[in-house]
Parts: sequence; C-alpha cells; structure tokens
Amino acid sequence: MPENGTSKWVKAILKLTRLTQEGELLWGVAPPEYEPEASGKVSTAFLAEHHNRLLRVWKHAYKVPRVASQSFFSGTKHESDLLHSEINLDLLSDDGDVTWTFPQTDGLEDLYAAVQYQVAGVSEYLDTLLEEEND
Amino acid sequence: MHVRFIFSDAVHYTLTPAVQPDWLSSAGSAASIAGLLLTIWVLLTVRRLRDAYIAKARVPELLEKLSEHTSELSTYLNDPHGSADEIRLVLGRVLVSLKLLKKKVDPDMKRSVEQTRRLVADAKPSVPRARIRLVYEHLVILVEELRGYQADKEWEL
Repeated sequence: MPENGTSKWVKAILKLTRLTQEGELLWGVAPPEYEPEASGKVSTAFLAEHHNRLLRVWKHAYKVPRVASQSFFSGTKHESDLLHSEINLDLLSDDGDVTWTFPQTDGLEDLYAAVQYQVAGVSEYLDTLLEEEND
Repeated sequence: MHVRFIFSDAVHYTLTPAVQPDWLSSAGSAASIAGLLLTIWVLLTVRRLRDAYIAKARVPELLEKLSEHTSELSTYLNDPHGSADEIRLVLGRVLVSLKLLKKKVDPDMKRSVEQTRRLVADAKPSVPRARIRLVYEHLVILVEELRGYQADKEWEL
C-alpha cells in the first residue's frame, strides 16, 4: 500500500475494503438492536467482527436545507433542499452503542459497495446463473 | 509644388539633430523599452490568470471523473473473476483523466499524478489482480490528495 503521508483513515478504509473483497472479513446484515438511529433515510446496515471489535457500515441520506432566496421581481421565496448521502463506518460497543465514527474520507463508498456485494452473494449468484447457461 | 515644399521643410526640420535634444531621444527609447516590458508582463499575467481560471473550472470535473473510474475499479475487485477487458477499459479512462489533470495542476501535484499514471500504464497490458489492487489504492490516495489541493486553490483566486 502506498505510504507517503497518507491519512491513516484512508489506509484503514482501504485495508478493510481489501479484506472484504478477499473474503477475509465477513459481514452480515445488522440485527435490529444494532441498527443506527438517524433522521432521513437509513439504508440496510451491515455488521462485522474484526480484532474483537464490532464494525458497522451504513448509508445515510438526508436533506440539507438551502438558504431561502427571494426573487426581486416577483417577491416569491424559493426554498429547495439538497439531498445529501454519506457512508458511515462505526465502531460499536457490545451493547450496540457507537464508540467511534470514522471520518468521511475517500474509499468509504467503495467499502460499502464491497460489503453489499459480499452480503448479497452476488458472485455466487452470478456463477450459478452462468453455469445454468452452459448446461 | 507648394505643399511638397512645406512637407519637405517640415521633415527636414524634424529630422535635423540640431532641433531635437538628446534627452528627449533617450527618454523616448526608455519609454519604448518600458512599454515593451510592461506589455510582456501583462501578457504573462493574463496567461497565468487564464490558466488558473481554466484549472479552477476543470480540475473539479476531472477529479470527479477520476473518482468515478476509481470506484469502477473497486467494483471489478469485488468479483474474483472480473473481466480483464473491462478492467483495461477502465484503466484506459483513468489514463485519460490523469493525462488531462497533469496539464492543469502545479508542479508538485504533477509529480504525484505522473507517478500514478506510470503505475496505471504498467498495469494495463496484463491487469494482474494484485497489481490492479495497488493501482486502485494509489488512485484513492491520489484523489484524496487532489481534493486537498483543490480546497487550497479555492483560497488563491
């Protein structure tokens, strides 16, 4: 892995992604008591155990209010919210409380996609599907 | 005849050294040289500003494209039997983005971009999985570096 002054968070995310893609870190759907609580839309959360720590990754989509603007001519106020989404990677206690949330960095989206791919069993499904075609 | 006579006299008096003082001639030369230098400085400054504005507009776009292609590579790494041809296509697009970015960033950043570009170019022919992973990791780190560079540039203009 490249070293030169790279943020340790990015390195950590890259390593988790590699472990996930190589099947060395196994994820599952988070049970209800480990689901995150947040406003807006929360996607399926995934959980994994690594070095006796619980890792949780989930996608959070929410609206960010925009500053109201007023048209000079019509006097109408225009307000429209922006939809923002981010991937959160948390360290949890055994009780499901968040003890640490990783900062937002590049690579988190790819980690989430890798976890989804693994949990959904996409690779195995494709292999089965394509085998049927060869029969 | 009369007009020609006056003209030739005027020209004669203008060009006669006895009429024109030395200091005026020197001042004229100095002003010309100063004017030339000022013109060159203005041209260089306008060019620098133009390059900076183009970079400010284009670097974010190119960075987003590079980020998308990087994520595409990760998608292929999800699948142990990922298609080599498709990976090569993505690497081709990455090379294009890197080439364009290299032209629009400062020398320090150019070095990082060029290092990554060489890594991608070397991996492209045979696309071994371990090498693709290294390329992917380098790209994520480069994207992070470019985001920091772009944030710093926002303060310059």
